[in-house]
Amino acid sequence: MKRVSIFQLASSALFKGDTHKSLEVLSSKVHQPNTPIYQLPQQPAAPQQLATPQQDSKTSGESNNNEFDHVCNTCIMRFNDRELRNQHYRSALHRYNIKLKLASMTPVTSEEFSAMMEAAAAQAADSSSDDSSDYDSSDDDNTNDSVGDEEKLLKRIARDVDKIDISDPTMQNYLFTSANDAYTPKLSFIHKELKLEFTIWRAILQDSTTHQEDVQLAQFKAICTETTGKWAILLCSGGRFSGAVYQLVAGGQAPKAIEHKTLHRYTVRKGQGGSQAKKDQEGGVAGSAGSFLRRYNEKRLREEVIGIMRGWNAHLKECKKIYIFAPKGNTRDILLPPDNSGPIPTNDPRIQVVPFPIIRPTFAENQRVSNWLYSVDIGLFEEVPLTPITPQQESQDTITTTTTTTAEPEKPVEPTEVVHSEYEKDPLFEATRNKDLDKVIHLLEEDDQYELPIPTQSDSLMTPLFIAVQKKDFKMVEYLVRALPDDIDVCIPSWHFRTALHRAAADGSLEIVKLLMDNGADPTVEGFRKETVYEVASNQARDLLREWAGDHLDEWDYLKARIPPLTKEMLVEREENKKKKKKNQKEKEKAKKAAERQAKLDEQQRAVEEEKAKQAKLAELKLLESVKAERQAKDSLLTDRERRALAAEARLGGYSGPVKKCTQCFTNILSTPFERLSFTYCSTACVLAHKKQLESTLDKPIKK
Amino acid sequence: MEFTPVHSVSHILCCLCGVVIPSNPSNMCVNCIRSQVDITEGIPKQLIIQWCRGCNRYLQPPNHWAMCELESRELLTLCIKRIKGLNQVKLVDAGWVWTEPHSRRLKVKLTIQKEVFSSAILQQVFIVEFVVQGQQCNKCQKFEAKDTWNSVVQLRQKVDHKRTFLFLEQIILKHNAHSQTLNIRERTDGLDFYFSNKNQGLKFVEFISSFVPLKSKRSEQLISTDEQNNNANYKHSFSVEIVPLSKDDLVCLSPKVMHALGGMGPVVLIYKVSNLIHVIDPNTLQMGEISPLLFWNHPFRALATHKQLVELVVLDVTLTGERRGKFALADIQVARSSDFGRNDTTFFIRTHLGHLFNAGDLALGFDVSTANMNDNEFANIKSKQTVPEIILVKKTYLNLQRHWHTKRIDMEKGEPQKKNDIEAAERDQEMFYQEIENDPEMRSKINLYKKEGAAEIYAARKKQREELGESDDENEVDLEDLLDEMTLNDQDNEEFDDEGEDWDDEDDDEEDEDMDMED
Amino acid sequence: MATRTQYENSCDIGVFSKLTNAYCLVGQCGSKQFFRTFEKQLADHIPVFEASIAGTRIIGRLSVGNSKGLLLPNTATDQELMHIRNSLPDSVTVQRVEERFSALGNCIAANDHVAVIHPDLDRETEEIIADVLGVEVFRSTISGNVLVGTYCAVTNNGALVHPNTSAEDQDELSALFQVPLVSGTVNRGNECISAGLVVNDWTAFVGNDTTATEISRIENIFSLQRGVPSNMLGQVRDSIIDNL
Repeated sequence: MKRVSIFQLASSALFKGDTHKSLEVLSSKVHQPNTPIYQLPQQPAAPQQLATPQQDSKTSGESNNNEFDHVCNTCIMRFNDRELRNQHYRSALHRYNIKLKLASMTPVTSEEFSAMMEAAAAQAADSSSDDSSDYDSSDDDNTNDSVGDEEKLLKRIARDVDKIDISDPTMQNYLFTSANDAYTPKLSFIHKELKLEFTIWRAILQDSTTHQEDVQLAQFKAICTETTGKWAILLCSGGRFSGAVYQLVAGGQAPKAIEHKTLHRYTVRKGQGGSQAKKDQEGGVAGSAGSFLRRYNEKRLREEVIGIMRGWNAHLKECKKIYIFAPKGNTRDILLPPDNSGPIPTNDPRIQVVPFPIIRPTFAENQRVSNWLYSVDIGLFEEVPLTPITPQQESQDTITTTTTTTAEPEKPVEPTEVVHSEYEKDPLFEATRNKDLDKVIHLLEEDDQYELPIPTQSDSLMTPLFIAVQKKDFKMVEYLVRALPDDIDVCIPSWHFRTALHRAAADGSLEIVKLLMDNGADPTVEGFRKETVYEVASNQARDLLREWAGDHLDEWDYLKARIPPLTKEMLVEREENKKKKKKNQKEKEKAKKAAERQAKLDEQQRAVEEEKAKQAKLAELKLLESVKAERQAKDSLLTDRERRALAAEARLGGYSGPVKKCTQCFTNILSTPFERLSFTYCSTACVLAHKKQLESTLDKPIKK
Repeated sequence: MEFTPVHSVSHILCCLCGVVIPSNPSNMCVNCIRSQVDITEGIPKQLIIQWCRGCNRYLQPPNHWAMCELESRELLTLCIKRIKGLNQVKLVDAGWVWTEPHSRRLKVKLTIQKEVFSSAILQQVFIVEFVVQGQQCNKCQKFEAKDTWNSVVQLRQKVDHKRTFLFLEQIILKHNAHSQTLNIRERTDGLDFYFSNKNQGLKFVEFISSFVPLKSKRSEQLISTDEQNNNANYKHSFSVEIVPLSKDDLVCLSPKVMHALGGMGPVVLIYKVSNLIHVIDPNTLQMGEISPLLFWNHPFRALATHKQLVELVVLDVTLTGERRGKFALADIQVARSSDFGRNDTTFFIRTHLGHLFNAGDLALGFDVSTANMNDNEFANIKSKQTVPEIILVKKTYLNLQRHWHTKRIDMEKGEPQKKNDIEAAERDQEMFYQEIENDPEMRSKINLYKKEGAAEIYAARKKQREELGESDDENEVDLEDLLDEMTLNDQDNEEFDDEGEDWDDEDDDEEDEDMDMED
Repeated sequence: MATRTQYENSCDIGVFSKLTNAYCLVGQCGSKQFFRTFEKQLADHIPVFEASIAGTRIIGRLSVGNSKGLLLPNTATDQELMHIRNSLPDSVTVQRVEERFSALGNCIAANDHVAVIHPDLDRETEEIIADVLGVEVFRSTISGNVLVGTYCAVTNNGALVHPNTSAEDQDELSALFQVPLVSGTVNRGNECISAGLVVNDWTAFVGNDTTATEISRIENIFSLQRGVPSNMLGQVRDSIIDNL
């Protein structure tokens, strides 16, 4: 597997000539093994069976009359000649196999190895320009002339081997496939002729949500052959922001960052467990100095980020894609303010989330993200199906060996608006689709020529009722239920063989569900995966179904429908429980209020006491003021020199911090305070007095 | 050129004994490893476990005593916890080895594993012997050593009923204030509470004084002194006397007290006793509070108590419209129940209980007109001014089956009880219950518990009342206010539930609060 | 014969000393006990001297050598290089190697004819090894471990390897070294062979913890019973090489 920048594909042979048709999207149907070098060790072969040929060779004297048998256990090779063996030990194959052996993989044979070398050489020719950028610093001897091409390629392959995480137990048992289902962030294309597989990030496609393979393919090609294009990457987490706008440089070089900026603000408090903005939102506002700093910085970060993005507005407008990474809700709000006050609207279709984890947002990380996003992994592709490993997989679908089938039969594709055939273009369907009730009535009742359409083999069965349900057209449903009562329980193949009732319940269209049920729709019908209506229903629909079942206990076999009926009594009981809960809560609140009132009273009392203390303090301060005034009067009589000396003395001896107060008498402490426990006092007398006071309060008995 | 690889395990010689073994991390054979390392090192093989003979419990350090059967899981856990050094190894299995109970030895078989050298894990089985040593638990010690008390609170009330004590008992129970008592003993006219030190006694007196009016006196008796250290050993007694008045007593105030209360009375009724005595003049609705200090300066006795109460029938009620608190002044026409069918004597009186009565209700009151009062003050007053003939005290309610009950404190009985006493106690209990029933305020201070089948009894009460055509009683004890009683099958466990921690906690809280205030 | 000794309470004597048929280096040591042990056994035959490499005493792990040469890592200072060069006989070439891996002793296992080296060593280093030590160089592993020098002690008479080495690998290594080879341990089950054992063609030193069983195994495989330095040098091995 080799990773190259996606833009380098443009210059490769892939897109030249008529080879376009050989590219194909790898569908989820095929499990393909990765390149052979990734194959993990097979079960060790039975030793007894294998020991014999070796012994035979020994006894028959084929080993060149040597007491030592020339073998290489690493490469699983045997040599007749010592010289040959020595040569082998110096070969690249041996060194490569040692690497494989250390990674617990099976060695390759010399043929395989030489084939691999050729492939690597071909790749190297393709991407020689990329070498320096991709693997620059790590291997100095790449530039060394004495080392041959072979060595260089070997290193690269060896590095790939190193990347495999053999500690991962899943790796050892399974071969991974990158199936193109909707949930994987990656998308694979295969080149049928060259047997190559290209894997890219789904996010870089123009329309990353599409499932149409031709669209995917076209977009992939468009990206590959692009020559001008901009994209922006905005990363924000933990008070750090890193944004950059990249532009393609002509000539297959690495894209350049035309704008970039990295910020860091203190928004995550150390040891406080992450960002605390959430706590502020919940109403518990922390009052510490640190939290003020944090709040201030959060605000600043927001402003600065928006400011930066405003500055890049022109570029951002031109960007084809905007990749953002903001792991939490509020960090996302920094990049895309929910009130759309930022330069990028929140619903901008260009916005893509970075599909892989990142580390701390820095410019280097930003560049890494850009490079990785716009890179393509090229690997060998083999169309060998693996036997499914779990029985679950087995039951799900059978495995086809080729990828040539165009449709994806079991993709969870919604019945789309796209009309495929004559059958689906039938006027009745058209009318229901357009919610044209009059026309439907006309077709069914008045138009004599009109006949209900019959699907051909290739079409899947469809009923107007289903379309109406899908459109949530209540009136239409009402009419169709009466007009075509047979259609009610028809399973629609294009929607997992489910009925109209399934559809309505899944959509949560309660009225329609009720209507259908009242008209005898069968809730026990199961879909393709044996799912009943109740199981696919939305929450409200479930309640409705239960209530309906409670009202019509004998109508259906609810055990089969898997609906637990909800009877009137149960409803009443539930209501009562709720009421009781409410009542309890009210009582609790009452008690709480009473407690609060008590607290308020206490507070008032305390306030009065404090007022008293304040008065005392004021008197004290006045006294101090007068003393100061006296001192100043005295100072003015002194000479300059004496005054300086005095000032210095005051500086040295004086307490420079905030003025401490005596805990006992509340006077300001001018000299070094006396300290006991966490209290400070002006004199020993105060210390003793307060100590006694403390003791008496501690001994105070409980008063209820 | 190629061949198929052979994988074989390499064999080496054990580094100590030279036996051929497959190579392992320690490169020794199992026997050599065994001989080299003892993984039970650091684990004691013999330990002592404390056992209380009195209650058959085992000490779980630091100071919990756990009830365990021999050879039980619990005892095994307890024993294993005692073994130090087990955290260094992995305990795989533990079990008992049978020993004779009278041998006073417990043997535990342990299987442990430990990693030795780099990654060789060794397993070993060994036996740890526990010697069972007798030691009295605190509870038994307290029980056995009766005279360990250091202070005693002698709570007395010189009245002919025990209602005050019954109430105090409930309050003590609710606050778990008796948790530190060594013993509680019933005495004539009161209770003795024994404590292990002075502070606990002091604290208890303070606690009581916040609920009832009392005076207390402390005295101490020197037990021993140590002249060298200037230490002395005292026994403290707190003589606490509760004011000998209780709710619904009629009192005649002495002139001094009368003046102190703003000239009310002088014949007044006690309507409530908290740490003050609350009195009301039934004629004027004037209310007053007598502090214990005032009382003890000018002590007086009740003019009439519950024994003098007579039953009366309310014939007519006219509210004057004057209200004070819950009380409403009313003019009422009453007749003695005993007079019914004999004569037509009726009384027109004023009462403060206008809010309670309707015509036809039964009431209890003091018949001052006919009563013989031995009170100097009263005699003085009687000569000077008119005294109401009848003073209504309370309404009588239906006596229905109760759906609640209270808990009792275990206390030592003082003297052998006579039949009379038992009857009196029952009567007091009944009166106390009635008092609780009719006084929601009092109820709020104590804990009531659901009786068995409380819900049914409650329903029956309701029904009965309806049948008798009575309206809903506002004083009815709501089912929701009752507590569910904790019922344990094993009575012993409850009994041995150690030191109530509530008391200590409260103590701490209070201290904390004090500190906060200062901060 | 094998002598038990220890270096300042450590049994990993191979870390602090380097012994070949032509010389013996001993790490600088506070007490001279360790040095004297070597001196007593060897001084009559070969030079024994104290040395340091890159200011450290762990010379056994940092250097590799045989009777023809000695390789020092690039961390060795000029002064140290000079000291060692002066103390060694002229027939022994001393060379400093510019190599990423500085613990040459851990990465290379060599006797007078063959060296097995860490698979990631540079080509240049490989050539220098071949030139200075006069050996054939093979890249290999010992029981899946790249530190071949740590898990193997080899002389012209025999070799002792890591206890986990499978029989097949032992055969292969034996074929490479062209000497009989066994797996074993030193220092009471320690598998870092060359940390607990320094050996040449006629004598061996082992850590104090080494048991009698281990010593007997070592003496057997390295043919140490004769106890005298024979001029077997080349006697057996050269003939075999010629033969091939």
